Amino acid sequence: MAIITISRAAKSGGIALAEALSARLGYTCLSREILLESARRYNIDEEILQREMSRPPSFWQRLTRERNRYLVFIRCSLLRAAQQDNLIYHGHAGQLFLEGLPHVLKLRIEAPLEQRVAVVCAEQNIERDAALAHIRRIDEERRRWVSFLYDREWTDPALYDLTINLARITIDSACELVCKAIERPELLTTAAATKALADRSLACEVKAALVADDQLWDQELEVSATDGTVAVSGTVQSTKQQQAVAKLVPLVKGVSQCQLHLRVTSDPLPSGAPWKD
Amino acid sequence: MQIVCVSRGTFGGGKQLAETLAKKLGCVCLSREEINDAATAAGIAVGKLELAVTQRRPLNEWLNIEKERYKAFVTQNLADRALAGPMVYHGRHAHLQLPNVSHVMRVRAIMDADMRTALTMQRLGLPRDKATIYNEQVDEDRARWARTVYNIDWQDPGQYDAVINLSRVKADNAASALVTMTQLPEFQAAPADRRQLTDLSLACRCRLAVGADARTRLSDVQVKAREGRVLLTYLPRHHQLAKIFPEVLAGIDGIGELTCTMASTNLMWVRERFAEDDAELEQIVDLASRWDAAVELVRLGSTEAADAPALESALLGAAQQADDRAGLGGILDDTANVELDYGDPGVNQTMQRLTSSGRVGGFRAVRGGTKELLTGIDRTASYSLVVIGQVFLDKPAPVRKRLTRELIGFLADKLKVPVVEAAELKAHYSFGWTQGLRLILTGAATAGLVALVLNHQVEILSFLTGPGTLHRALCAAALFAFAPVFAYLHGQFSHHVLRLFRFE
Amino acid sequence: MPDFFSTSVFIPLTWGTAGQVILLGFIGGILSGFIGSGGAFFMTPGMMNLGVAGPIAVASNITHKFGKAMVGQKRHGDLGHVDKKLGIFMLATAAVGINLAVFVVKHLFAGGSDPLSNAKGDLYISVVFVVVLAAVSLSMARDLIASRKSGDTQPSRRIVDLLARLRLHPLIRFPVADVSVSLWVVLFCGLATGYLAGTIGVGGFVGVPAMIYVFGVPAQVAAGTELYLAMFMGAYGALNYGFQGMVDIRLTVLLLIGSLFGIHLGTYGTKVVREIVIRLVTTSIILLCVVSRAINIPVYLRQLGLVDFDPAWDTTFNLASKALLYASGLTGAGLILIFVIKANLYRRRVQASLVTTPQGTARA
Repeated sequence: MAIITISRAAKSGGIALAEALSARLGYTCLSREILLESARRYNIDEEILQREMSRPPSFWQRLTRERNRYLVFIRCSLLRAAQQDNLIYHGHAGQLFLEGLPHVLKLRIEAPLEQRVAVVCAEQNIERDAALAHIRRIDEERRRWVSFLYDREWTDPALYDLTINLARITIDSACELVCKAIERPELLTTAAATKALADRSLACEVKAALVADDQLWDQELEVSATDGTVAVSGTVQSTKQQQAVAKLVPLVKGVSQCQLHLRVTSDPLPSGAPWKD
Repeated sequence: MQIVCVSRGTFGGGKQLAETLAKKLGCVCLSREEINDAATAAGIAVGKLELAVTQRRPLNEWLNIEKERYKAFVTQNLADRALAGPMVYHGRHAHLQLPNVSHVMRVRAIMDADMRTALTMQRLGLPRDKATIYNEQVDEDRARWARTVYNIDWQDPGQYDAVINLSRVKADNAASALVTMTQLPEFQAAPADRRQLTDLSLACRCRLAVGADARTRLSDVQVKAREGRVLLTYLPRHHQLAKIFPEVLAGIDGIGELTCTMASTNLMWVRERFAEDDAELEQIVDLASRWDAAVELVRLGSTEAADAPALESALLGAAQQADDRAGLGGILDDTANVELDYGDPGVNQTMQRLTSSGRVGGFRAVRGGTKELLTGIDRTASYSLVVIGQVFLDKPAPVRKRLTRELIGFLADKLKVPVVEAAELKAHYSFGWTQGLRLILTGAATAGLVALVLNHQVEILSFLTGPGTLHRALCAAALFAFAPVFAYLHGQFSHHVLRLFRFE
Repeated sequence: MPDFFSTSVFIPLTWGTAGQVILLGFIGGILSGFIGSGGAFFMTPGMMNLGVAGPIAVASNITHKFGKAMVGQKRHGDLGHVDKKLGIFMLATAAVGINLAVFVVKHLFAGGSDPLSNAKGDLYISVVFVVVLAAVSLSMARDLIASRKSGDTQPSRRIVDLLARLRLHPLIRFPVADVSVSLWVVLFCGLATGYLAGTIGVGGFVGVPAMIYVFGVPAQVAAGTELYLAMFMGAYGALNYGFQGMVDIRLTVLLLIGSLFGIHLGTYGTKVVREIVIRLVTTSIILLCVVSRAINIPVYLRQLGLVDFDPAWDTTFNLASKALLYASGLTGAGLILIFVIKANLYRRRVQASLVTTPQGTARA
């Protein structure tokens, strides 16, 4: 039927809602699983990935393109899962990874600060001030994360289709609301929606294959896909790299045709990755 | 008796949403513009108020009074309409006008900035950059309005139950979703809500009557009502009007009892149970009379409290009475004017004690915990101090302590005033032995320093004007250290002296 | 020890003068608590009339202000009324302004005990004082008259509107005050505030209205931020003047003794009288202070040889100036005290809660 992404303020009850929805609608509920899947598939240490995804980028990382790689991998895994449809994703920045797809309901869960603090106090048995600091820290990390990715305030309701405040609305009622909301005709998984998702997923797979390559990982290449036809454009630094692209792209599953629009700069800049570990 | 408040931006599609929703629910649809026009017709300077806000002028005394009148007008209109039947309102911050009415559904309608710009361009015929600036300015004005009038951040999604983005959804479908929402149990009216709406309407009618009378027009008063008991608080500077207020309010239906209190500030006293013979009560009364404060009692009872059903029935009874009286067409005979009871002997006695010392500031019962207390707080009210007595009595001691600290923290954050536990009251705010000792010590220190300076004038001055760069730097540093120390000591001293003479 | 005082710039202190300085502090404190921004306009000329040289009066007053602001700022800070970011931005420019002011004063006052440079310094400070405060008080008076007619008491603000509309980039956002203001406007206002604070010690008269009307800062935050600013400016001024040996610590102490009491009473006063009365009293007091200082200007002019009249007139001018200043200060403070005492007495006498039922029978 549809895909639901849930962005949640820390300890607001978003996870409980996701689980309740999943039980009620019979949808798959994913969060960390996407991360684990990416780690497994692209052979990255799970902990590194976890750390990279939960913390805002450091100043140094903003300059390098290291993190973008991880983002591509995760987006790729998420898009693949989304193709199964009937999905609830409450992990990091789902609304951003799936932006622009017609059958995605982007949900945001809010709750009053005092309610969230009470949850933390009870869970971790700590004082109010410590709990408040904990919540503020998590919120701030997520805020910086989203502002890094999309240059938007993550609490900006315009990023979401529907924001629900769990101050008075119970989880059950919120469930009810969301169930009604996904019945809207705008959110039906139409053929066009399935195709848009498949195209985007394929493009992302190709992009992932490119950034996974040691030689091409820091090249800025645009990838688009329509019905198995993949177009790659951008600039590479050597003919060797150009050849690598040409070799890699057709190997990706689902690519039937490949169009390369690559420009080679004769810049003698080193193509290696000095900061790579 | 549904009440839906849709908060909308300019060209955000909120109006259409509200109208569609009203049609689907088959109820009245009321807009901010209609209410504003009515308020202007009633002689409230809405235009000047808006102008002052958009031009970033601070409100002066007169505009502040107009602001209060405007708020009262809006609340009274909304409450009366809501009492008459289900209602959809669209405007800015209507939900704030109906405080403590638990079933108000608060919705905000928004739209992506790009789509809004496109709509603005189309409707106003502006180029893109102008339309963007236009929308930004409108938003800024609105934010300022919310801050000036209600002291809140209107963008904060925490204020609404749901925020709907109309960029991808048709108004019709969004309205259908909202219809589902209105059917949720959270948004069904409880008997207490009806009572609260009646009280709000009564309080606002009183406030408007004060504003409409030529004699009291320019007075700064706050009116609260609870179960037909009306409490009017006025500032000491209006003391010559004390006898006039009851005359002004004489013609208003539904007043069971009118109390006029002169106070320059408010003091909130939160407890789970109130009793008459209580040292805490005496301390509070003493403090309030020194500060010229009205004391507002808040009974914070936990949800499991045994007296909850009793209270509920008392409220129901009161509501019934009010309805009966309304049925009499405002003619009050002696039998209808029974003593209204707060449903709790402790509260009754405490109120009596406060009345006799002239410090009544109202009573409110809150069932639940910190969250419930915070949602009902008027953030524009001026409190000077919040005193937390014994609360969360049914919890074990450590939990009680933690919850109390939590409550204190949140209240202090929200109201930005000192919040203390009743036990600390004596140490901080009354004049006892410690204060006396401090008075003497700081006084002695101050006198000592003064004597030192005056007895060694020549030495000190020649030191301060001595030559040499290093020496000069030393002089500057000495002055730098001396001035604040002296100011602090003397400040403490003068503070204590004035407290001794009850000037605060 | 007459030898010390005859050669120094400091005046000898008798019990009488000490009492007068305390009184000055007290009245200044009442006025500053009531008006909401500095009592220096009264204290500085008051000390000058006692024979204290202008720059010494300014320096001692600024040190006193430093101590006072430090105490007051803490309270405002606890209430969350201080926008530190705004404070720091204003501070940066205000420091430049103060430095400029100190430099100018020092330059005019280079000769120490030389009477001619004394007169130059006095004349300069007096002229700035008269011009700035006359402008402030006249515009306030005009508002008062205008508000009589319309009922809407809004200050006129042509220049202010111009500055507020001047949205030159970069715009800076101030979170606590919740406003965005152009950097240049902030810098300009900061400079003006600092310069005046350094010259006549009344920066608050420009700083607070600038923050409220030009930046759109809420009044409480403006007052809190101004105190925050005053604390640093006072510290800076105290250090600077202290370094130059111009601070008379005796005067500072005496001023503090009076003003910390006065300020409480003044603040109390604002709670018990109507806004229009507050403005009326404020305007008249400032206006009288201006006139009082203006009367003294011919004396300085004569000392500099710019106008010529019988030196015997000096005393008359001095006396008139002194009388006027004290008259204004005393009437103002007296009026405020009367308000306060009346309100306080009334408060104790009257039954504050009056309970009635609709039948009109009072119960308590």
